[in-house]
Amino acid sequence: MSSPPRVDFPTSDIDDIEMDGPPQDGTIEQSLSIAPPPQRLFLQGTPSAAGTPARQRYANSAAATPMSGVTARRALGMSTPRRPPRTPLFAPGSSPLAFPSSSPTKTPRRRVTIDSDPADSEPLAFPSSPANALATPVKNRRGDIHSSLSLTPTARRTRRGDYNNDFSDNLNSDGTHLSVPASSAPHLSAPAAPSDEPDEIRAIWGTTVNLAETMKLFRDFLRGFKPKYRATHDRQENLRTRTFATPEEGEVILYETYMRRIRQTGETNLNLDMVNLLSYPPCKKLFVQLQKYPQEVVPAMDQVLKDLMLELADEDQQAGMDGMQGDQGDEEIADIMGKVYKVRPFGLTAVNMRDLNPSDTDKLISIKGLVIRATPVIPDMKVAFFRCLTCSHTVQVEIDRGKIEEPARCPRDVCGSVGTMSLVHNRCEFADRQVIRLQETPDAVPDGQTPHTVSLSVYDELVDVCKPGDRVVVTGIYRSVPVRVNPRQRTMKSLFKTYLDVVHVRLNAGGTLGLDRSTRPAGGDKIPGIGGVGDSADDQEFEEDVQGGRMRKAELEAKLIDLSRRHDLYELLSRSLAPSIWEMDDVKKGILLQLFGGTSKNIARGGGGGGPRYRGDINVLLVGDPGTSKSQILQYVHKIAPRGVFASGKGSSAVGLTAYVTRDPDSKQLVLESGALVLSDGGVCCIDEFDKMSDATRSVLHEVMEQQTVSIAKAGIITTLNARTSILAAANPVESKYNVDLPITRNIALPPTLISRFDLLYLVLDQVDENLDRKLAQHLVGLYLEDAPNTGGYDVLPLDELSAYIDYARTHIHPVLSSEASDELVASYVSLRAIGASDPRSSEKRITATTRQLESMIRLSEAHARMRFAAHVELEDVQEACRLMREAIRTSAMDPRTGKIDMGLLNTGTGAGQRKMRDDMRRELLTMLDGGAGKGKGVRWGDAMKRLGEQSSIRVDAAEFSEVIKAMENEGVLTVIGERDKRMIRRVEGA
Amino acid sequence: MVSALLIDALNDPTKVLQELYQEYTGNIDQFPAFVASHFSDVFLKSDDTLREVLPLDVNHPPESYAPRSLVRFHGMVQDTSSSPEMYLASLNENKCGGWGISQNMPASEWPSNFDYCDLKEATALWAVTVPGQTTWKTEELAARSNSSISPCQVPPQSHKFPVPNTPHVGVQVKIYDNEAAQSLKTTDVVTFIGILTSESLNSEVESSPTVSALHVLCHKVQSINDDSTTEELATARDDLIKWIADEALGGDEVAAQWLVLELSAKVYNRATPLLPPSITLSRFPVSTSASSSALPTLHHVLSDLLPQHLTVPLSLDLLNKEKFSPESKDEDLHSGYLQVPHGTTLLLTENNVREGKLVEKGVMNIRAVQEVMDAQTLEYSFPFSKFSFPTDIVTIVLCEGRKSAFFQTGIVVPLETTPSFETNLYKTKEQVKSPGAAKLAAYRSFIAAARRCFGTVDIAEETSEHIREDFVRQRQEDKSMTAEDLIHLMKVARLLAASMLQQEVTIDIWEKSKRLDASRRERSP
Repeated sequence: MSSPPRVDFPTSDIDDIEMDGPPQDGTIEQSLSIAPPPQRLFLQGTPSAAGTPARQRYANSAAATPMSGVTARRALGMSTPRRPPRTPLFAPGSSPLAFPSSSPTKTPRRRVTIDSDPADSEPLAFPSSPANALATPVKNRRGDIHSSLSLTPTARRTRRGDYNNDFSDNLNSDGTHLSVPASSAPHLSAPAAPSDEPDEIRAIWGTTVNLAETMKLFRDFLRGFKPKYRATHDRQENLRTRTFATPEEGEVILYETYMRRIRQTGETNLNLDMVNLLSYPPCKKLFVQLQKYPQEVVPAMDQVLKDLMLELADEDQQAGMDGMQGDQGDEEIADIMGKVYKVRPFGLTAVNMRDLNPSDTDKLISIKGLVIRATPVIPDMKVAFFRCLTCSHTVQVEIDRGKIEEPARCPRDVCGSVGTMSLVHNRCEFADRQVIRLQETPDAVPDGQTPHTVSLSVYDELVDVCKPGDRVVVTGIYRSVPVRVNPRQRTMKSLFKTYLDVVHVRLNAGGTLGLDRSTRPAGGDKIPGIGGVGDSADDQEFEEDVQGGRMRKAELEAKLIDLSRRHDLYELLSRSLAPSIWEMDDVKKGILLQLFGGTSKNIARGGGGGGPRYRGDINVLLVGDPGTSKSQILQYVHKIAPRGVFASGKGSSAVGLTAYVTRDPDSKQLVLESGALVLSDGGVCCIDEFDKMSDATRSVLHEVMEQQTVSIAKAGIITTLNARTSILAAANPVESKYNVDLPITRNIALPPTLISRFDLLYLVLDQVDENLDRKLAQHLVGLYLEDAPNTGGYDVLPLDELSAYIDYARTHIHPVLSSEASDELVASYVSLRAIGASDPRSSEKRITATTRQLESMIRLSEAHARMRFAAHVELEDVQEACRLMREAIRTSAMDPRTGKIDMGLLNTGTGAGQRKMRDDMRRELLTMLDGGAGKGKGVRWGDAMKRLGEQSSIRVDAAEFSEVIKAMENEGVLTVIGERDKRMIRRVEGA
Repeated sequence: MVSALLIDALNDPTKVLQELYQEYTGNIDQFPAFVASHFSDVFLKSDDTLREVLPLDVNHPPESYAPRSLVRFHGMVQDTSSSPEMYLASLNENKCGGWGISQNMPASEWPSNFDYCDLKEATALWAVTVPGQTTWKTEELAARSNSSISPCQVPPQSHKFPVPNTPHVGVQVKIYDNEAAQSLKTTDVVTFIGILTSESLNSEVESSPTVSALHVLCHKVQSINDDSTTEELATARDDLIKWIADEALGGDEVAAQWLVLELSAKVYNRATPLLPPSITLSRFPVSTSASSSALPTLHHVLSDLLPQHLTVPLSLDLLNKEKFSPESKDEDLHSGYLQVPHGTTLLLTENNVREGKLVEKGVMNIRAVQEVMDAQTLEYSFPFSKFSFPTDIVTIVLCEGRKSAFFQTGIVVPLETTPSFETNLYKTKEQVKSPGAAKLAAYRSFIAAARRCFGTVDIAEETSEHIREDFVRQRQEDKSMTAEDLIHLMKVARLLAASMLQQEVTIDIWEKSKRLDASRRERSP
């Protein structure tokens, strides 16, 4: 590490476009390097900083090389051996990834030299270990990228170069040079290290890919990409493009905007849509490079990003941008200095995980799947810290291909003892890691095959982004690692395990309906990073276009909007819902609105912060005769619905419908596995054979349908899980066939409290009709004896289109009530209530609608507006909602004795007719007690019943009678004395 | 005709492989396909050459073979969810690395460096002996005298065999020709020819058990279209009915006829749910003998007639404890009774069911069976998702009561035994009077022919017109006639046509099936 003269810049093999001002810069730089380092050092930093490891390191390196301090620091950091000696398996050259410059034979020696350098401070002090350079916060170490490259000299130098220039300029208060950020460019190529690694062209091993060029390309991209390029590209691909509102919109330098936002928000991740690379003409090859050599290119991109962040910050400071003036700007820059920036590429076409094959190893790929298991966060050792037991010399070893190679002997020449290196745990560096098992989604599995699974490793910010049950699209690097037969043995087997190091995760794509986003905590689900998952409204729109199905999505969107303008939309959608089921239009319409759902209103949105959430979910109950295709309807909904879960009441225990605690086979920790209701959080839970469900299970539903949560207290875990789900249930009547003479509550053996929680309750009855019979026979004979079935062949939407339509509406449309709609709602509600009240024949008011029905009406009209893609709930929505409500009420809440709609029947289980009868009985009873024989002493129970029976034209029901007595007793009007047959009913005096 | 190639391959398949590899000049990616076609030419061209290969079955378990011997395995694909395996396709000195060569190499012989480009992928499956494969079929397949029978124990990974506690062979099958492997589905019955080794099941997990692995050279999916002549079969129908009635059903020929109808059924069209009906033979007396668990004679008779037949003696214990539908636990697909190949006949006997409590698992099991009966689909449970797989299982339920306690079957036939034959309901296998090998063979091919026929039965326009009119008329006469009844009758008509090896449902058959069904109804109390 003696000091050969600096190689000068002109040898640069890169043509830098912005090379205008280099001579001065060069001289400044050079003179600085020659200047005695210490002063520079303290000039630059705070004097007291000398004690910090970073500073000290700085000092060391400065002492060792005549380079400019800052540069040296950088150089040192990068020249530290990144890779431990290879295992035989990964002998140099065997891996396509090996980087010639990081020659393993050379680097360790170098480390040793530094270490044993007497000029170095005492070897015992940890900070003096040069390896400590690795620990600088600015060091860019990513768990997902196992690359040697991030630390290669050029890469680091580049960044430093930039920064250094700016800094020196600042220091010298020489404003003239400041405008030339590109002056750093020469450094790019300059092998500034007094190099014992004399490679000038940093190429990716085994290829002609010039890294410096790659970095320059990416730099140009970030500096030059404008949305208009994307638009052009998409047009070429025949995808629908978004028209820019103004020409300027297409001219925005997108990534500079992003970078500013990164700075403002303190983010460190930039999500990079790879299609943007492809559409920016100069960068086309960068796309291929990124895909083929992510391990080298991604760190290079990180590097460029950081450089540009600094550059941009500096420019902004110069420009005096808001928040970047003076000291504030310096702070910002210092802040940026201390951060690790990550580029997270995405936007590759997702392939099926079955199509992954060995040739994809170490390439960037994208797959879709369903998360089936996620381990708790695992501390993943990034840097191991070893200390020699004999001489206390310390060494740090970085992870390489998922393994830490333990040094076999003390690297210090003087010591050199074998097997004395021991791990010091609390000095090691750890990162968050999580292993996720991803299973193929049902739609991707070939017919008749069972789904495959693949392991994913996610790191740092991506940890805990996805939860079991989520559908995700991940972008990552495919790895194959040799398997060790026995972990205690060092021998490898020629078997390989494969997994994905994830660089980018996108949630819930490819599913049918997206889940209701309002059910996820705001920002909690957000994938870290700027760009891609845009957070401002205009961006969202642009990014939506950009993401996933890309313009195909936009195309679909246009199609959906076209669809929403159809005048027969409502009918079309409702008949597409279950095309093979004949008739039942109102039921289908009700279920359709359930799928759209009302808007969930959260007080938190109004600024309350975590207030209660008013459910927007619509619950529907179907009751009817067997064989009326209720189950079929449920199956259809299950296919369309987001996070749809299908459960049969008969088979599901309380556990199955809620959540249970098990031990995770991987980590042996207790984990909570959610059952159907929790799984369908934000979706629709279809429950068949609702009546056959056990009471215990059903009682859980009370909580779910009102509070929208499930509480669990099991195995020491007490928690409340969200179950914001719509419920679609189907039940058979008690006597399997509906008895029209009984009220609905008697036909369905469900507690009225539960029934009233359903917004819509439909009776599906089997009707007998001769004409229909003939049609039916024709249909059936055709269906069963000929091979050409015709199932609702007329104009219907395919299931996936319907699903997409609903999805779009649920995610994008949040209608609000217009004033005339609310007037109409009020009017409808009053009139619904008035139906009972206005009946002149009834002596008392019957409750026809309750506030629950009003809420239902609001939800239904919101859903209807949503279906129309309307921003406001209009009159027609309310009218349709009321019509549906009336239809549902008419069939379900009809009191068979009076033929009147009576919601009281659902809410209390007793109808108006029944209540009237009870009142009569009560009146008669009082007359009986007050006058006649029983005066004072009371009347015997049996006698009273008998006498009432004599008076009445209908039989007096014993149960009804005791209800009346009980009610009167509660009121304090009378008392009952004695037991059983000897019971006396006595009037309470004075009451 | 025993070619030299065949003998070479039989003696030392590994050597043949190496030679092939060295001669091979094409694209390395195509090599597995080349190997497959080479060995297919050698072995799969005719039954004779196939039979030269030693069979791997219950009578010839993996333990009886030396490592790396060439075997053939007739088995059912049980699980396709295991991840593909990466292997080193090329070793030093241009040696072939697949087919278990590199995987089982001791670490000391490992190449000191290798190229990642040489990594290739092999599909890994789990295959088991065909569940419910009857003895005659096994013997027919083995095609050699059982000179060295070494009965198989219950191997490890027995949770992957549908029938618990039954001797069977379970092997991990590794197919190197990935494209061909893509088409294999669960419950497919496949003949594999390959090199038998013993390896640890899951290389990624420590302490995973050692299992037999079959490195497949070539394979063939069993097709059901083995043609046999149909001429002499016409008479077989009546003989068969008589034989079944006399031997196993207490002389009840009507019940036997329904049984034959049922045996002719298979799934032929899923688009419209025209699925084989299930049948209950009710009023089936409980065994009078001391051992209540005795199998009904019907079991032995069906075993003699059908290639795949499984009897499940239902009891509360079995329902509550055993699995019927497959379930994935810890990413390992556990099998269940219902995971059987297409064309299997399932005989469920309810005579051992006693009073007791059916727990949740039992309820789920019953639901699974009912689902198979109603929809011919079987649900496999995976975490967070369930997959429905098509099945083709004919179910026969025997119960003592008026109807089955658990299941709703399409057809219920109360048994009416003739006193003289009463004792024949429960007999041991030895007591069953065989009609003679030739007759038995004719019965077997009759049933196969009827099943084939069922798929092709047609209906004339004239007949369908007749049926329509018939239905409307009947419904006017009798309000209780429903659409379900019509569907049922149409199924019966189809079955009847098939069992008579007719190609078309005629008005005659329609009327006949109406009469047949009416006589069945009369029996029902």
